[in-house]
Amino acid sequence: MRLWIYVARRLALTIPVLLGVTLITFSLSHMMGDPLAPYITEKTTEEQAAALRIKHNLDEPLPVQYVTYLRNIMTFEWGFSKTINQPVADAVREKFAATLELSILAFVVAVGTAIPLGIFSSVRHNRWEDHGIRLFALFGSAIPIFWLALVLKYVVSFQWDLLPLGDRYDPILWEVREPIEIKTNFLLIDSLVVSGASSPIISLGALGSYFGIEWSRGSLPHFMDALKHMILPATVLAYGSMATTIRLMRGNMLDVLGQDYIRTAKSKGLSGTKVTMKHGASNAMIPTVTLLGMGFAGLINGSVLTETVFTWPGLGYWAILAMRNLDVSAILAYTLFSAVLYIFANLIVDILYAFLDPRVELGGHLSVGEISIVSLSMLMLLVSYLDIEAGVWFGTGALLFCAAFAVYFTISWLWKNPEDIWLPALFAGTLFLVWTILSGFFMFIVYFFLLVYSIYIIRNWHDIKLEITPRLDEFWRAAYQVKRNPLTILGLWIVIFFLAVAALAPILAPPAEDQRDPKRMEEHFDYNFDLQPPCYFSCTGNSGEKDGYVLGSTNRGYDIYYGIVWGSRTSLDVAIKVVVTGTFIATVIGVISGYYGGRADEVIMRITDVFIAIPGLVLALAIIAVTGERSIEYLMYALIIVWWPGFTRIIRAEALRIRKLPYVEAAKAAGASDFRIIFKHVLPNCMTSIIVIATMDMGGIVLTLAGLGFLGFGGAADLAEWGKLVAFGQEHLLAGEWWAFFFPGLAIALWALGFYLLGDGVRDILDPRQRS
Amino acid sequence: MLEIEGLEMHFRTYDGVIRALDGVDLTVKDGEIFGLVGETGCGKSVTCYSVLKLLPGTAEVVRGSIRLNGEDITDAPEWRMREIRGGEIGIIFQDPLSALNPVMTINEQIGEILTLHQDKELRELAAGRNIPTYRSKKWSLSPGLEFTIMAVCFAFLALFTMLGQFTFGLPFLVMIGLFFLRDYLQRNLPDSALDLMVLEALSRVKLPNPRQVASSYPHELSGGMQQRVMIAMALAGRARMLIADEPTTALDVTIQAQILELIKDIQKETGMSVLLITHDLGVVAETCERVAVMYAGRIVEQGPVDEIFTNPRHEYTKALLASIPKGGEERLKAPLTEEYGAI
Repeated sequence: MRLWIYVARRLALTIPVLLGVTLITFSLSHMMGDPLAPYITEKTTEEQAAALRIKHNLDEPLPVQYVTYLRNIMTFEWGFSKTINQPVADAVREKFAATLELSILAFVVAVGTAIPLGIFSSVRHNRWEDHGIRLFALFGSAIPIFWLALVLKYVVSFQWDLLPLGDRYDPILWEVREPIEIKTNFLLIDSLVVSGASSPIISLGALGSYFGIEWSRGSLPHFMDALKHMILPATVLAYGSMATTIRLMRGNMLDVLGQDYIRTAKSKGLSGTKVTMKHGASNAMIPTVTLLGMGFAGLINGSVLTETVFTWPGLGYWAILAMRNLDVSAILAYTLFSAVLYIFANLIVDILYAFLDPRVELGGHLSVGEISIVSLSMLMLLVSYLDIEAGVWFGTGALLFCAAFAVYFTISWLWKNPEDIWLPALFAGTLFLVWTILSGFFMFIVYFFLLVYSIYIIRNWHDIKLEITPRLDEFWRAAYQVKRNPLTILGLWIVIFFLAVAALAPILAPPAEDQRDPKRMEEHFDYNFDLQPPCYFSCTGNSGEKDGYVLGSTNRGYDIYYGIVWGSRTSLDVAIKVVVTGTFIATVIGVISGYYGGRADEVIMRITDVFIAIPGLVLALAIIAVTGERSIEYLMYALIIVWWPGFTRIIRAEALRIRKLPYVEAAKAAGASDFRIIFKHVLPNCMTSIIVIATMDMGGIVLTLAGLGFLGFGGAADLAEWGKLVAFGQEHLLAGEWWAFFFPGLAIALWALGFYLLGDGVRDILDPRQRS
Repeated sequence: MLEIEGLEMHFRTYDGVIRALDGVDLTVKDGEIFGLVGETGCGKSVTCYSVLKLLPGTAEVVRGSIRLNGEDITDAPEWRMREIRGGEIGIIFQDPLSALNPVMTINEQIGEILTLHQDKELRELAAGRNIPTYRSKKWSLSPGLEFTIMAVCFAFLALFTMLGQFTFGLPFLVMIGLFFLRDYLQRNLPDSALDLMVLEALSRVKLPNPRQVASSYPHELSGGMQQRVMIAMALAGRARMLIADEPTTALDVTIQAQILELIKDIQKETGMSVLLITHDLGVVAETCERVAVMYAGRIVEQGPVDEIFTNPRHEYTKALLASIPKGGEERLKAPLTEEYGAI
């Protein structure tokens, strides 16, 4: 019974999140210009357009428009998609099956192989099998999904000619030679259940015809054809989520195998396998399962890229087409749809978690804030469905009430605790810092502080020397630990290599004399020398059209070597800015929300819920597509918006954990102020996870950036950016010009691998429990 | 019963070899309670884990032998060790909460050891009373797996209904129906032989309301009850010897006395031998017949409790006895020894 209450509560909590998502999509659609665009087609006349404008209340003020939009969503009036000339609701229904078929297959393959591999790896801890599986998993996270897709497509489909190049089915077989009825649009299922095909899978055959029954099911050629088309996309899609699941499962298994109850199980006389499987794996599965919901979101993200490479006619491919053509309704519908899908996947996983782990408190605490938020948003939906006018009044009233309450709460709290004025000041400071970073003012502040600080060090050198000696000991200890781990060394070298390349770019690849911006390649290169094969070390002198290209050139004559060298600057620039800004925001919000808890925490968590619900790549794409700005700055804003919520949640969980530790209680009992506790106890203890996540995400953000660049949303068309170079290469894959996509993709993979390895190593060093 | 002779055990670590046991000699006779005292880190727990080979792979026996009822088990193969663990030697640990699997019910956890070591008895009981041996409920999977299957069925049902092809959803609907039908048909079932034996094991450690305890998870029980469950589990396989590794450390004082009383009672009833590891000399004086004092990986003194308490020969034993808190005048006179007690 308690379980059903829990399920109901979780279901109710999705409603405010969904409402928040609609708010985001609505504001996106308004940034795009004419809000009528989703509802008109090419054939719409002037009068019809005017009528539609009145029907959808587009002349009315914004609140009315929003409520109308909400109502349209509820009544499945999702507008009309220009790109495929179909109402959006119908298109979603049709394409959804294609994407889902691929995702389900990939998910089953990924989970089915990753969990046994993770268990095996943990059982063989620190032996060569373990190292092998770890590297395999690490590659899976580091390799950009579109690059893997291109490489597989080039080798398996183009060179070996084993599998089809793309699409869902062979049109000659399915549409001309033997058309079969497509009922569910899951082609594997349709080809299995079709009756009366020429070569069926199951048939009564001669026996049936003897008794006068014609019974046959399925069609083997159709089934095999659909399966063949699915193998490559499903493999690519599965690899990424397999990698994360392996790492997770291995970590959890190692954790569980060190527990006391494993010793108890052994002392009962159970065999090794049974201890590992029954007591180890079933416990390690619980935390793994909770992250499978996230894994599903990863699949939705990945399916955008995979479907684009393999021209798979699913939601992702359609969304990209829509974004390139500014097809507003399709973009918004896709964003909304993937958010809903993600929310429900997580809902199921949460309930599953409650089933698997008896220690979970099903009741939780039903706070007043929660109840009021849920009931307000439910009422909002109901009222807007019934009447738009009433919905507007209700929504405005509710918002005003909430805002007034928030203001009253903040002021009364500050009135009671005037010493906590530093909190709003901290928020303001963070915002200012973010602004300085984004506006380029940041470096000035950094130089200024460096100058002040070095003067301070020189003047007080004697005191600082005393203070620094134990720190140096720590450092050497850390260096010793790094030395023992060859993988960390490898990561460190890769990172140093890329930093050096970025720093020495003008020497390694000198720009032309008349070039205004060295990162823009259009002015440097000549179209006449396009698609030159690489000459590696036999080139004469520098890279350039006269001497041949070290790594070849793309179809517009851009030198790939030059692009990779200057691309490292682009990646470094974006990654550092996004990580630093995002870390500031996430740390401040996360630590304070985790430490204080209460109403503010609840509100912040609901907001992050909304942002996390929309898969990262999709949200970034939507923001870029909708703002129409293709410059790299807007890309950066989009990446920050995408990145901060997840990070905030991790920091918040960490702060929440630390808050309950005895030494924080002790500090409180000793009379320390909140300010002191946060900066002396909570923040330093969060630092390990902050540094580790920030290091790893230096790689992750470049992967996302490259994905966006590959899809055609990465700044100017001739910008030296790795994802863009891969996209250039993709166009000429079928001409056999492999170098154009291979080398830039390799650079992305290496970069991500370097930062992932370094992050892993840093975690080992910084964790004080690892020292012995 | 158990004889350990000159046992030397080393741990190989990155920082070099740690000599955990440095020649341990120990004899536990049939039907006695034997105490092993010493300070934290002196190798008490390592000694008893090495008897059952529960130590990590970095540990290795360098010298010495372990004999159980005359049989040399120093290099016993894994299959023989599995028979011994739980079947001939039961063990209880310090912290009962972390020693019990958090996601299995008590019933499952005790049932496991019964199926391993009491299989014949289980079958006889089942045949005698004409009840199922292991499980009364048939056709069932683990709850999590069942939920996953149900969730997938619901998802596909919804999906195909949404796509306008309800007929494709029908098989999933039937499957969900079958789950409910199974639960309805098997709602009132008799106890299986395994259930009965678990209940018996639980009532042997004097747990009130064993049926409720059996169906609960470890975190739902109090510390004392958890330790009783651990004892029930260690005894369920009809072991002739019980190793208790500081069984009362994690419990509060009143519960400690109850648990020790329980161990004593059970020892009297069954006549098994008990190896009680503790750092509390009071516990030793109350419960044990003979005692060994351990210091830095070595047994420094061994003998009947009275003798050791009245006439300690080794300096460390003297220091240990002197460290017992005393009341009144004597407390002021207690000598300060700094030679031992620091590692």
